[in-house]
Amino acid sequence: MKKMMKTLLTILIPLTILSCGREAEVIPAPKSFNEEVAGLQAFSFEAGKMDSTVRAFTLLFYPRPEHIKDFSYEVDELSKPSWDAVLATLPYGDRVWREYPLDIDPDMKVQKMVAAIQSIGRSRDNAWREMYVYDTQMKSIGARQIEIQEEIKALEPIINWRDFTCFYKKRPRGDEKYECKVERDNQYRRRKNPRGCDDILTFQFIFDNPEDEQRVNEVVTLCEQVTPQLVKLEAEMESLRAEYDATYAKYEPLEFIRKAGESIVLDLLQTAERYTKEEGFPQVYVATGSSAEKPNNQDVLSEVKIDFQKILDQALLKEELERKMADPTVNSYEFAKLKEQHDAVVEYLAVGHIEKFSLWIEFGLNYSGGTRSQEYSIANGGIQDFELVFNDLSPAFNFKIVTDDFWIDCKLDVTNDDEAMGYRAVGEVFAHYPDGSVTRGGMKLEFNTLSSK
Amino acid sequence: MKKLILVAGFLMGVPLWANPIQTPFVLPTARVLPKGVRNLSYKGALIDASRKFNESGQNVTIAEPFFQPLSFGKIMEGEQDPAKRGLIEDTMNALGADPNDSFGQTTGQVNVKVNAHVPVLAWGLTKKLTVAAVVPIVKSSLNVDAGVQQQNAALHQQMIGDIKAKGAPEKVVEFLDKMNHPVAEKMEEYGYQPLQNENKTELGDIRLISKYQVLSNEINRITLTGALTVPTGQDQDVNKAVDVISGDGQTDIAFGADYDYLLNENLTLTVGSLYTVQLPDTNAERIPFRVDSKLTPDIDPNTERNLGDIWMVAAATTFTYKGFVAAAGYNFQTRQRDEYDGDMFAPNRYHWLAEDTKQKMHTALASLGYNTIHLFRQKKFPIPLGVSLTHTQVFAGENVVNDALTALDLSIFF
Repeated sequence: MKKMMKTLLTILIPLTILSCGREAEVIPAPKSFNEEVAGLQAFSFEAGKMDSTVRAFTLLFYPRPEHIKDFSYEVDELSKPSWDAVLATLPYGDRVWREYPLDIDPDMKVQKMVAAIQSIGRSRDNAWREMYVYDTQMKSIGARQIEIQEEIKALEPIINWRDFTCFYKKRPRGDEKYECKVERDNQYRRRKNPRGCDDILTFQFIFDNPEDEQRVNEVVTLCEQVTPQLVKLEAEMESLRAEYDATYAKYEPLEFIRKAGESIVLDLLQTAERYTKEEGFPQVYVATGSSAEKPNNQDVLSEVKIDFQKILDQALLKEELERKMADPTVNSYEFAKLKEQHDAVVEYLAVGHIEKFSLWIEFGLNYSGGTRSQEYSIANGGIQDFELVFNDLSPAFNFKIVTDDFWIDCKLDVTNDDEAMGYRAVGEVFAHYPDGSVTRGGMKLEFNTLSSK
Repeated sequence: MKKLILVAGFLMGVPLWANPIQTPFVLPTARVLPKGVRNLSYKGALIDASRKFNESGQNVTIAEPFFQPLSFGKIMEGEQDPAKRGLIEDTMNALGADPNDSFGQTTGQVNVKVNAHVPVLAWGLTKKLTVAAVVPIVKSSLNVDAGVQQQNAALHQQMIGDIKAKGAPEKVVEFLDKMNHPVAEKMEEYGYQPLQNENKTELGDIRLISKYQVLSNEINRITLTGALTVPTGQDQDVNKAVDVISGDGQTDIAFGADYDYLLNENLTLTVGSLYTVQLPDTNAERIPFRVDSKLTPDIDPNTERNLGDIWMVAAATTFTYKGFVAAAGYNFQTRQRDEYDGDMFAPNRYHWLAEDTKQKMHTALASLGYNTIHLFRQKKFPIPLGVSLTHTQVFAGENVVNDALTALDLSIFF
């Protein structure tokens, strides 16, 4: 029996031990990160050169599927050329939906509408980039034209051309010159007033006295000297005019793309908003902001005045002052002075760092051309909880736009790494309604870079 | 990614299957305890979970749902907000890509070790009726990790360039975070707890069983079985994407029969069957927004569910000689598809919850054991004891873990 018990225990004890305290081996999941993906670099940010006037303003919201269940949209004859022109600028334009039939799933409608709006935005941005290049070229041409005008002005002798009026008998034929006299007589009665060297070199004077001859010959000699240069400058001027016209011919359609892009997005969203309103929902999808590109008719433009460099300097100063104040060797007098300075910096960073933040916006349907634009600013409380945040890669504006019917949460990254676009504040926005619904959207404020003006 | 729920409700004695179907480690028998005899036994099962048979019956890792391409198409499908899908579609178009173009793929690792400690008390109330109570204690250890393999550097760079061109640098940071930790980012977005290794010990679903012998002679034995499963175990945590559970949170009733054919005093052939009805209830569930993924941010705390009923058939042959017991058998289980319904979301979304819940399992079992009953009867041993070791191999199935299982059974009769 003892032997039997021993056998049983020999089997049982290892099995019991085996069944206790087992833990799953910790095995990491396969991971491989692509070394070829370059590290991020902070966006270049040249502080303090942002023009305060908003050049272009975009604010829109995307419909929610539940608000557009039976919504449909068709492109009419009026807007078809705009759709065609805008989508033709995109290599994938044929993949962008322009029509939204009734029987399509609302989720898919929203997805395709957002993709279309984004694509049109790209087209507008691309158009702006090209416009910037052509605009730069046209400005350069214009500057050279002014220079040439100045050069011509400098070259042309300062002469009272009336003193060299040509009195002639008959009009010359072909390349013949005018046969002129300085004084009028019975035969040489007709008058031709020279306007410059070009004209005077086409005159052949007959002199009645040596004084006149000397006076005229001096001018003729001078003209013969400068005329080749003037001719060359005129030719260049002519060439520049042609170049300007050719450049403008490229610029003009792009300007059309910008406007057409805006109009078709507005039409799509206004149609959706009209349907949504008819269904009894309060959602707003379109907003028009007054900007240099599209000013309202109240003669006011949206404006953001902010000195990034000063803010950065003050923020650094604040850190430095805090370091000094923490130094135990600082005596009470020095500490009091540092604290006074520190408090002033803190106050500036809290309330004084944004000189102006004023957006003129008209929300909703039936765009009035700006007559119903309202100002939303930090000063009047239309913009609240404004924060300028310096993230790792760029500064950002965080704020709320508060209207009577809803409020909009805005988080916009500020960059100026794209020469053509200048300064941009771009980001997602969320409109919050009293019924708890939230709609996603996008906002973009564009500014010129002052040095590029 | 499909949600992984690993059930560790290992039960005892007569087959007592819970939801979803379990790897069996008991062969059928029509035996009952003699009147007045009680049996206290301890059953310890060791199981690893690392592989499974999928919906098509293929043998795959249980971390399979983690392995997903990071393609534009999949990324779009993973976004519930159609506006966000629209933003991604526009980027895809602008890069000249299509839905199959991929940045790489997500990866994962899941391995589980479970020890089920199952004390069982059985009592022969009459000559024909035996009742038993089963109180499983489930000790589990979970290792889970998610990773990513990036494969298309050019597409990464194009994507970063495109976001920068849009003037949204912080979105570049967001994109890189999502690419470097796609699973963790998505789970955080949906409100799941972060994936983490976990060791825990929990009470499983308690089962009450009765076996009634309707026929017993020298050649035949027939026993009817009835069982009730009480939801004392821990159901899935709705905030965990990978969870080892010790119960399913609802009540089951089961009924069945076993038949022994005694070829001679040493050899018995047995067939048995058990049908388990899983009663409907309401439960908090995450409601998918896509048919092929159960990861979702939407929770319906009052989801009506009716877990699929389970039917089992088994056959075994048992050889006994002087206390030594050798047995081998086959077991087949099938579970019907679950049903879900609710009012918070579209009806089809509840139906998607039932995807991949239909299960099948074919197993082969072999058991070796020894008991002192004959010695006890001969008064050569003071107490009637028994010990056995059972090994189960899962050789085919659908939507079931297929790792082998080993179980130890110690019994004492008094």
